[in-house]
Amino acid sequence: MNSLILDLNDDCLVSILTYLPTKDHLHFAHVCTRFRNVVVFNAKSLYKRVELTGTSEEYLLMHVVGVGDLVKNLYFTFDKEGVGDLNVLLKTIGCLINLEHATLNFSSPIPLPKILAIIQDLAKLPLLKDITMVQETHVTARRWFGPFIIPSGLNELEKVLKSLKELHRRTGSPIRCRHDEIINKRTKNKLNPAIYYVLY
Amino acid sequence: MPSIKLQSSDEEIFDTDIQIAKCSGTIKTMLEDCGMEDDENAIVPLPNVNSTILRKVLTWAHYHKDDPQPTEDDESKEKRTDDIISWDADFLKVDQGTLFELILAANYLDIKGLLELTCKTVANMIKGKTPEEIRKTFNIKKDFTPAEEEQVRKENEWCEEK
Repeated sequence: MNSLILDLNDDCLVSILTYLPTKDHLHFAHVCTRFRNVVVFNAKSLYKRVELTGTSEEYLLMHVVGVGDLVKNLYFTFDKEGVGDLNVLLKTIGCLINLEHATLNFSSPIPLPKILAIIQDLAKLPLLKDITMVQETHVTARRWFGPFIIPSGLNELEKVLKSLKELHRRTGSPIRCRHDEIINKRTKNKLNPAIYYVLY
Repeated sequence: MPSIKLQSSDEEIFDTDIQIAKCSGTIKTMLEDCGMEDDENAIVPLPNVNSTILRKVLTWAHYHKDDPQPTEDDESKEKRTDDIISWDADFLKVDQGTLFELILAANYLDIKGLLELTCKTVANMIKGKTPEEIRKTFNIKKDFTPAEEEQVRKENEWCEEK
């Protein structure tokens, strides 16, 4: 007896989906009826938290398949292979009408205007409670940094923060910042300094 | 070290260290609920796992016996699939049939670490592929009804416009 992927029960297929980047979910759902049903029937748990990179597949999943209003947590990170399409990303963010928490990962180079556009669109979402910005700083990453690009150190982050404060001052919400250190899971015991800014 | 007897679906008996057997949530519950822990001759039947797969599962559990308990999902952290250690990668150099049976066994036995590892491996096989490539990889037939086919077409529409 040789087992096939379709011999897996729905629980197992859902587990696989939790490790599959959101941008690959649309193609998964378009494979066959069973895969499609697993995505549709488990959407509530699968899309409570999503990771977006700015691809058209993500937009179609959120908008046309219609799971965007289930999203409460957004983790945003730039694709290592290339920067996602900003307009597509902003359109996708616009679908997340029930979003409460957003985490933006600055560890790959991101042009400042893009970050600002993303933050401004996030701030328009009615239920958003906080934006967390993460910058993992480690020496080997420094060679990526160029002019006008985040992270080129704290100064660029400060600029973003300033714009954010401006934004929140207009809307009247209070602001607090937090410094944290996290442990890098891959290198296990080695401490990798990281900076979190949480805006309330 | 106290041990316990596990019986596979094809009735092979595995003498197993109790600590290793207990990495399975299912076995742990059985042992504790049935008070089998002190009984050297007790046999735990595992009708859903054959001997080939059980042997592999126990090999994995033995290697990972000192791992810390997997933590609860942190919603603000990135989910990674590129953090598979080389021992695990070598362990999973198996055919697809074995891989899926390992997933089913990890799910049935409730072994979080093994389920995570095997599901990550399958996710990595799906990543970046088109639906047709996914079908080819896993030998799946496209079985959409005309209505579903139409829906799929709609869900792709915007891509083509672009």
